[in-house]
Amino acid sequence: MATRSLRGRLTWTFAVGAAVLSTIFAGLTYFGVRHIIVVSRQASDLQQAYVNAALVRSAVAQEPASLSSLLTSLDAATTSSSLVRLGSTWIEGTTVADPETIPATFRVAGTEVIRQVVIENNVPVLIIAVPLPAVRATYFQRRELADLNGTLNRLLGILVLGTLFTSGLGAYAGRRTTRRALAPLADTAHAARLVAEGDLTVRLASDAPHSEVATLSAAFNEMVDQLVRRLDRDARFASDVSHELRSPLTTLAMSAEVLRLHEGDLHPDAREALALLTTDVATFQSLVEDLLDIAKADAGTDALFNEVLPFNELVNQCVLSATRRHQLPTTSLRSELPREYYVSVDRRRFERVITNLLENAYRYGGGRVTVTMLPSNGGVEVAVDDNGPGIAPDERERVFERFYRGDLASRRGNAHGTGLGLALVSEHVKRFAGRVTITDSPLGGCRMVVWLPTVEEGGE
Amino acid sequence: MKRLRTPALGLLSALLLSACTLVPTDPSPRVVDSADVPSGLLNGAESKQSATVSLWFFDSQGRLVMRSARIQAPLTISALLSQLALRVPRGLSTALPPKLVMSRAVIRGGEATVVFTAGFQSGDAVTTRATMQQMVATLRDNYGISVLNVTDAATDRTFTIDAPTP
Repeated sequence: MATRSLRGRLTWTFAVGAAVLSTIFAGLTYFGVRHIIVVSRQASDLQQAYVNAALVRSAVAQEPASLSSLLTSLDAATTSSSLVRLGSTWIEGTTVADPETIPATFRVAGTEVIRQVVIENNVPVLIIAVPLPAVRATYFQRRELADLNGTLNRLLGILVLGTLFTSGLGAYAGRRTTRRALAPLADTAHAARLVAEGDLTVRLASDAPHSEVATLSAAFNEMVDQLVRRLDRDARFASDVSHELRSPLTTLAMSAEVLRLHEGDLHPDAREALALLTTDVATFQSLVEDLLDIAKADAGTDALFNEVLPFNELVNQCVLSATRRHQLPTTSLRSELPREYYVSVDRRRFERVITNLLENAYRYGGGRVTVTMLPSNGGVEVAVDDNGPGIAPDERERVFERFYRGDLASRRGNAHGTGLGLALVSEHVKRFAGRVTITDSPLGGCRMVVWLPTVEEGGE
Repeated sequence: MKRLRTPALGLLSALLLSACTLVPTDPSPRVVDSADVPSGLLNGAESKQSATVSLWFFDSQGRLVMRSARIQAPLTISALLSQLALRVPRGLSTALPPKLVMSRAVIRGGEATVVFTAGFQSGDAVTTRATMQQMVATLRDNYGISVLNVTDAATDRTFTIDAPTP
C-alpha cells in the first residue's frame, strides 16, 4: 500500500475505529435481538402446542372421528402444521405435513416434550413433540420460521447500513478534526518554505500559550532568530574583514604602481614578477570590493539611491564606462527599443551589473560580445551575448551562487574571476525588482538577460 | 493499522456469515423442562375408556351391513382393521385376510392412506375389491374420510376407492 499522508492515516484510523466500534455494537445488537425474538417465538409456539395437544387429547379420547377436522381447524388458526400419531396411524390436518418430515429422533415414543429447529428447503422449521400418555398418542407441531428469518434479515440489513454510515461519519469527522489539528503543522511547513526562500521576517503565532503547538512555534521562531543572528554575524564579519583589507590593498596597489613607473630600471626577472604582482593585486582588490558589496547587501547596510533614468542612455553610458575603466574590447551595442523607456535603478550598482556581465562574457566567452536592448512584457531587457561554449541548462541557476565554479570555469577558459561577479549581479538586479536569466545566445554561446520593470518618466 | 483492520474484518465477516443461518438451528432435539409444561398434560393416567365404532361386514347376500361394537381407546386404524378381520359377528362374513400386517396409516383431511406390508392380496381381484369396500365404509364412519388409498408394499401396488354415500 502506498504511503499515506499523516492526515490520510489519521482519517483512516478514525474510519476504522468507527467501523470497529459500530460493528461491535451492531453485532451485540443483532445477536441480542435475535436471541430475544427467537426465544420469545419458541416460547409462544410451545404454549400454542400445549393448548393444541390438550384439544387433541380430548378428541382422541371422546370423538376420534373429529380428529382430522380438529387438526385442520388448528392448522388454519395457527398457521402451523399438526400431526397426531396413534400407534402406527398418523392423522394430519389439511396442511401438508408429511410424517416423513418428522425427524426420526422424534418418532421414538417418549415421555417428555421435545423441540428442535431444523432447516428444510433452506427454511428454518420448529418441530415440537408433545406426548399424550393418557390416550397413547403423540402430538406434533411444525411451524415454519420464514417470517422470523425475514425480520432478522431486515434487522441485519439495517445494522450493516448503520455500520457503513457510522464508518463514513467517522471518516468525515476524522477529516474535519485532523484538518484543524494539523493546521499548525501546515503553517510551520509554509513558514519553513518562506525561510528557505530567504524571508527571515516570518514568525509563527500561537493562540494557546501552553499547548504543544505553542512549544513548536516557539522552537521554530527561536531557530529563525538564531539563523538571523548567525547571518548578521557572518555578514558583519565579511564586511569588517573586507573593509580592513581594503586599506593595505590600496597601499599595495599604489606601491606596485610606483614600481611600474620605474620598471625600466628593473631586472627582467623583477619586471616579470612585478607584472604578476600587479595582476594579482588587481584581482584581489576586485574580490574585496565584491565581497564588501555582498556583505553590505546581506547586512542591509548599503543604502540604495534609486533614480529614474532613460534606459537606452543608461546602458550606453554603463557599457562605455565599463569598457574604459576595465580596458575591455569595444562592444557592439544594439537597441531594438521602439521608444525611450525609463527604469528606477541605483546608477552605481547598475553600472556594476553591466561591468560584471561584460567581464564575464569576455573572460569566459569566445571574444565576441554584443549588448542588445529590447522591450519585454511590462519591462525592458538588456541582453549580453557571447560566442563561447555556453552554459549547460542545469548550471544556469547555480552560476548565480557565490563562489560557484563547478565545471563552468574550467570548461569556459581561465579561472581568474572572483566567483562573486554573477552573484553580485543577481543581488543588485533583485533590489531593482528585476531578474536575471540565462538562455542560449544566437552567437552560439550564452545570453545573460537582465529584465527590469519600466516606470513613468519622472516617477519613482 | 493492520492490527485494527483484522478484527474489524473478522467481526464484519462473522456478522455476514451469521446471515446464512439467521435463526439458530439445534443439532439435536432439546427436552423442555417438564416444570414448564402445563400440569396434567404429560401425567394424565392412561384412559380405560372404550369407544363405540361402526364396523361393516358382508351378509349372506353379499351386501355390506353395519354393526356397532365397543373397542378400547384410543381408536386407531390398526384396531379397526383387527376388529374387521378377527371379530366377525355371527351370520356375517369379512373379506379382510386374517394375517393382514399394516405398517402405517395416514389420514389427511378426507383421505386415508394405508400401507400393508403383508397379507393384503391373498385372494383374487374380487376379494381385493371387497376388502377395499369393507375398509372404506368402516373408515368413512369412524374418521369421516371420503377416499381410501391402499398400498401393498409386497407387490408395490396402490389401490384407490371412493367411499360410498352413507
